[in-house]
Parts: sequence; structure tokens; C-alpha cells
Amino acid sequence: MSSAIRKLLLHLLPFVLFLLLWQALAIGVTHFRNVPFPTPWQTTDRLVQLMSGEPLSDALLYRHIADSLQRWLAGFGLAALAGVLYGLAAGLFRRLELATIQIVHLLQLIPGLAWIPIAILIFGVGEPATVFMIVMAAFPPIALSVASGVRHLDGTYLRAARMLGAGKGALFFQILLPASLPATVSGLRLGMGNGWRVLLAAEMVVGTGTGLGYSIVESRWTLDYTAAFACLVVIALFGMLVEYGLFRPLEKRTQRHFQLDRGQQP
Amino acid sequence: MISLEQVTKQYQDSQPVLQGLSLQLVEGQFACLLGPSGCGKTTLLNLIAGFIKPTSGQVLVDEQQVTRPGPDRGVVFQDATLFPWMNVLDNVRFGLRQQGMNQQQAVATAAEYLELVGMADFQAALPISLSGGQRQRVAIARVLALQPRVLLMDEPFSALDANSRERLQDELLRICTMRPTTVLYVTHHVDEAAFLAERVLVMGPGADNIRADLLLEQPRPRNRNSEAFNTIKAMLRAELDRLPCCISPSENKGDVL
Repeated sequence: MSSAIRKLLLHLLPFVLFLLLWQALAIGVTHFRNVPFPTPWQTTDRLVQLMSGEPLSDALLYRHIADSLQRWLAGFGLAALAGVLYGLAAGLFRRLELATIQIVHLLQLIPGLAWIPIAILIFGVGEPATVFMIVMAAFPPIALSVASGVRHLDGTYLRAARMLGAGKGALFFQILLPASLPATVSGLRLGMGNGWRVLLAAEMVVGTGTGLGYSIVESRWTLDYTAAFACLVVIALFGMLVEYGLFRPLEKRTQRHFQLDRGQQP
Repeated sequence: MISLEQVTKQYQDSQPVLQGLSLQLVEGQFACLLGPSGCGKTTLLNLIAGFIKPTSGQVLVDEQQVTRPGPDRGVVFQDATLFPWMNVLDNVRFGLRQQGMNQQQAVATAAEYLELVGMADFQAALPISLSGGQRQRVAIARVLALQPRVLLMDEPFSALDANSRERLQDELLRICTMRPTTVLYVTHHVDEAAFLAERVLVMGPGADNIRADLLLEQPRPRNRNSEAFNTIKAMLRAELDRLPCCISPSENKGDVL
């Protein structure tokens, strides 16, 4: 067996194990509790049905996916913008950091779902409440990561740039921003995950008739648990797509290009 | 013309690193600061570079007091400190663009200086893909391209292996002959000072930092195996032997301005 195939099999092993555990759980629950627990095969089958156009909670699966993604993008986008701006400012201005960073640490300690009453009080039930919850969950890791990235910037780069005659603008845009990019990407990755998780929870509570989270909670009334499982699979797949398709490569790339192992090679 | 007048530098409450030091660099001369770690060589360099301010006294470049770093005093650090997100050409171009040089001219000038340091074929390379010696060549090109009044070098080759170090010393002398520059070169290697310097300032700790100010008249490049070269080394060693050893664990590089 060639090493490439062996490596591929090794990477597939966790998925196979996962499916086996799932199957065992389904059989066990169905047998002992006498309720139908969807198996991987049944879930896949239902997913194919939904993908070929069968409606779920009065809407197409694609509509649910699109609405969830849209909410997530809106919330994550706002959080990313606010987080990066705050992080840069806090990293640059020590006083601002001292005065405010504890608030961000505090926000990070609040579990995503705890924002539900606050979101409903401020925005009422609906779209803005969902987006608000995503922002609150995604903002802290982005802000903290960028701030610490800027704060712990390698001072020798700034020294060198000033020696080469760089003014404030060049120092900021050509040195500080790129130098803090690895920390920014890490922060965005964490924020992305937080936002995605809280989005589905938020849709379950303050959702507005569509969305993957909404569909899952609706399955309690329709007893279509297999469809709920199918939605879970979609959620996991999208999470993995963003993680492995976007953030992992981006992080690897920035770390390779932006952090020099200085003085290692003779 | 670069001169220091009665310069004292003291970090917090500790003993002054430099005390009442006066010094004039001669235009176009290659001077080495030779001394053990902890005697203030790097501090002296950083004062001229403008990274730190003297506690008292003055650092003057063309009668003007130094208040901050600037392109008229090019620094080559121990680590090359190239910007890892820029390729080699952009690293050299960066300083030129800061002087307001237009795009086209900056590219041409950067290319010319990369040629001078033997890195013409690496314009598109990222610093991470270069060896330590290659990075230092680029670091030299990026400051020389700004045509500084003085080139300040802080043990630039000390992290390289012995062979690369000697090769780069040869290169540095060649470059200095092609573009005559005033150089202040910090080292604790006797060999390096003996090979490169026209003038050696032997430094020691505490008051009276400059213990000896020697002119080496033997023409460069010097033959590392010659008798004359050994004589220079012996003389420098004799100067260093008068200093106490093991002054401090490491040299305080000071706060960034």
C-alpha cells in the first residue's frame, strides 16, 4: 500500500469511527427506549430528499441554509469590523486598553445563550436579535487576539522601519497591519466558530421562521427527527468547509509568510 | 560629520553605561567598536541611531542634534529584521519610497543596490526563503540605497557560521570600496576588527569608556594568514586583556524610543 493511500485512510478513520458510534447509538436507543433514532443511512437518505426539493418547515432546505448563512455573515462581519478596529486601537493606545479590555474579557465569559433575554429586550424577537447575539459571541475573541497581536508586535520591525524613514502612516499601514495579521486571522477563526455556534442556538429561540437552527427546533413538533439530523449534518459540513477550506490554509499561509524564524538559518 | 560630546547614558538607577564619552567619526573611515559584552557598544550605536536618548550630553550629525532614528543613519542589526511580508525588492524599496522617490526610480535604485550586494537574482524571494547571510546582504542594500551619512552595524555577522562570516566581511570591504561610506561597526571579535577596521575604538565598562583609539594603517583587504595580520590581532588582544572580564550577563539594549 502506498503511503499516500495509507495517509488518506488515516484521515478518514475518525469519520468512519464516528459513523460506527452513531450507528451503535441509533441501534441502542431504538432497541432500549423503543423510539426511532435516525441512523446515518436514514439521515443521508433524508438529506438527499431535502436537497432534491422536499420542503422543510414550509421552506426549501436551501432557503434555510441561505438565511442562516446570511445572518451569520451579517453578525460575523460586524463583529470582525468592530473587533479588528477595537483590537488595533487597544493595542496601540495603552490607556484605552487599560480602561476597556476587562470589559471584553468579561464579555468573553458570558455564554452565547445568556444573551437571549438581553437581545430580546433590546431588539424584540426577530432578525436583529439573532445578529446581535452573533456579534456578542464573535467580537471578544477577535478583539482580544488583535489587541494582543499588536501589543506584542516585534519591536525590531518598528525600529527598522523608523530608521528607514517611515512616518506614522507607513508605520501603521505597511508595518503594523501586516505584522499583526497572523493574530488577526487566529482571532477571526475563533470568532467565526463562536458565531456559527450561537447562530443556531439563537435561531432556535429568537429565529424568524427560517434557518437551520429554526428547522431543528421545529422538528420537535413535526416529529421529523431525521430532518433535524440532516440539518445537523449540513451545519457540521459548513463549519468544516469554512474551517478547512478557508481559515486553516489562511492561518498557515500567514504564519509562514509573516513570522520569520529570525537567525535560524546560517 | 558625526560627533558625541560628553555623552552619559544611564538606565534607571543602575550604574551609567556610558559616562562623559566624547568621540568624532572621521568622514569615509571604517571604525570598529571593540569590547566585551556589557560595556556599552550597542548603547553607543543606538544613541547615534537615535533609538535612545542620552541622559546628558549631545549626539550631533552635521551640527544637528539627533532626536530620532532616520535614513541618514542606516543601521544593520544583528538580525536582518527584513519585513517578512515583503519580498526582497520591496524590502529595499520601502526606505526609498519613504523618501518620496517615485515608483520607477525606487525600483531601479533598489535593483542597483541588490546588484551591488550580489542579490540581484533574488528580487522576488521572500526573506523566509533566504539564508542568514543572504538576509544580511539585503539588509545592507536597503540602508546603503538611502545613501546614509553613516552606516551603523551592530554585530551584523555574529549569528552566521564562521565561513559565511568571513565571506561577508570580504563582501563588506568590497562594497565599501565601491561606495565609500563612514562605518561604525560593533564587534567583540578581535579577528573581525583586525580585518575590517581602519580605526579601532577599544571599549571598556564604566567611566572612561574608550580605552584605546588605534589607527590600523595596513592597507585593506588584509591577508588573514599574514604575519602583519597576526600582529594587529596581538595588539588588539593586548588592549582587551587589560579590561576586566565577565562584566554583565548581557548588554542592556535599552528602551525603544
